[in-house]
Amino acid sequence: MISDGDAVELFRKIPKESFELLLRNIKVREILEDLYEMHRNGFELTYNERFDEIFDEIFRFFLRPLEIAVFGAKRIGYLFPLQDLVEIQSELLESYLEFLKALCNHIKLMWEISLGLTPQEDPVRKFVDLYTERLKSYRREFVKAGGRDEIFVLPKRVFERFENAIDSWNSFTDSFEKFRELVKETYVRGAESFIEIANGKTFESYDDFANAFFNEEAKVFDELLVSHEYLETQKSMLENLMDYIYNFRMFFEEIAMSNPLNPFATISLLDKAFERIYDLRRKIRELEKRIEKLEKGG
Amino acid sequence: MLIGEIKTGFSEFEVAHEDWVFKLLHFKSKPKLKTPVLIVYAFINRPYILDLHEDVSVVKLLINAGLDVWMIDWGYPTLADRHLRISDYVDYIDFCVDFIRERRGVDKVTLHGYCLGTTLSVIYASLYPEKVRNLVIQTPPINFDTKNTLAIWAKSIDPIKVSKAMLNATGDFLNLAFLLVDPIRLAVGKYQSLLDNFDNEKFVRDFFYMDYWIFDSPSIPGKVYEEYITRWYQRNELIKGEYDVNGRRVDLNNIKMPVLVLAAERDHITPPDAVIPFFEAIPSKDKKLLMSEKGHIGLTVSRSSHKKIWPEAVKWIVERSK
Repeated sequence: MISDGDAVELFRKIPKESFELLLRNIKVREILEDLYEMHRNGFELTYNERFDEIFDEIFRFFLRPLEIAVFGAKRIGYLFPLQDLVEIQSELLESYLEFLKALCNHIKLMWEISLGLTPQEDPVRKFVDLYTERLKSYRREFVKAGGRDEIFVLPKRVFERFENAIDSWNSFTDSFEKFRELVKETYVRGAESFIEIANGKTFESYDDFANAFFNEEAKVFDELLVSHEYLETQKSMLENLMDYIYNFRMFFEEIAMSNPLNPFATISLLDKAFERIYDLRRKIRELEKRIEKLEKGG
Repeated sequence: MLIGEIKTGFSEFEVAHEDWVFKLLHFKSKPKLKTPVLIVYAFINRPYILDLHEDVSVVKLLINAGLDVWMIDWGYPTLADRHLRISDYVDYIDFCVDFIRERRGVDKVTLHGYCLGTTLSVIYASLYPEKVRNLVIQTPPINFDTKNTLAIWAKSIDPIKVSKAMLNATGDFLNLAFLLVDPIRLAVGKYQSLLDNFDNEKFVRDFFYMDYWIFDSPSIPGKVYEEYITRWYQRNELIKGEYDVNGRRVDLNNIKMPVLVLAAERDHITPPDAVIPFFEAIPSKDKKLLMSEKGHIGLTVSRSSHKKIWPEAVKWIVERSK
């Protein structure tokens, strides 16, 4: 339907969402064309894995972001595992030592080239050796300090956030499962209704066949999406997902803020700063208006 | 299949003023009519939908009719803009109106709102009626107590949780919701129709211009999202006369200027019920409602609307801009 060249051109020029939906719809059409071929040849349609494939193509686009929200959080987790903190710090020091050595060699070489000789006493070399030894000793102490009672080093808030995140995650998983079931059940109901129609008549064209399928599906989804059960499920899923994201982020923020070596401002700190900036900006605007009014003699 | 580059925005403009994320755009033209038009677009999606391409540009129609056209671009808010409030948007409209009045030497402007930009325009026109000569509102949500899926969903979510977790209501999050309100028609039917017309270059180009715009979605600042869902959708404060901006009540009885309403019968985002109670209640003696058989966006970008609805709308504005 689309040549490889066209696909590449489209991917470059159109939004990625459009591209994905287009590819998924090509697949939907291929399956429906197969089903229509069966229908035209007098075979009775039954709900089978081909209809499941259509479901997957349509709803993958909607379900994936919810799955990614969870997967994304896991990936962030890899950056901050407690057990790896010591190791990361150690590797950082190792890299720094390597850098110092390379810098020293470079300076030494430049010295020799520029002066044409090697001095008896090399002050740079001496200092780097001294400092390298100091860093090595710090590293040995640091690695030694890591260990069994890390859990007591962190403030209790860290674990409260963690527990809240886990609770929200469990509730989200339940709601998400129910959401997926509701959507799937509805889709199957729409497909079965279409199958009943198709088995009772012969569609003259593929377009009529496909439109009847989409109409039956649209009808059942119109009902589902405003039903009490769906609204409650969606509400619970969204709220728990938001609680989970918030608590998980706060969990990392608490860890970061409890560490005096942390060189980064957290999102919450930035957010507070932005709030103050906007408050100040409104005050400035108000003052500007008053000055303008005074200047106009108001 | 060659679709060429998708280059949205047909009419030339200059940025007349810039204030952090907000911009005031001034379209280049040689206006013949006295009253300038200020287009106030929604803070969802991008304003170039009114100037998407040459064939369906509302801005071009206004310019060709001799009007001086200005437009507010609300930009792409980031984490740094999470604490913007709706009152900041109203305040910037006021700044722009004063800027244009001074620049053009006029007392009043025509305010042309679109979608949630309509809500902002109605709020502004109620607070500052002396600066608004005509009010044009397109697919307007003023009464939020409607039966469409999106309105029902908005009443059952907790926007504060969204704002706390994601900081802003991101474009991806909003797009997902906008598609999920009608998944079969918007994510399947529409694309099946594209496949049916894949050999029709014009159809394909129009399709992707629209999709480009649909998925070019800025975030809504977290605090704006909280207020918009809570006070507009859930409490429906505006139509009830309970909404205020920094303590100043928004009184719709102040809407006495000429009002043109452009509504769309098949609008699944802001159905006609979202404006009819407002249209009937306002005291304006010069008011007109033009109903399109199209949907929320079709009213702006369909070629049939550009033949039927827009010539009449532009004529109405021109007659009141001399």
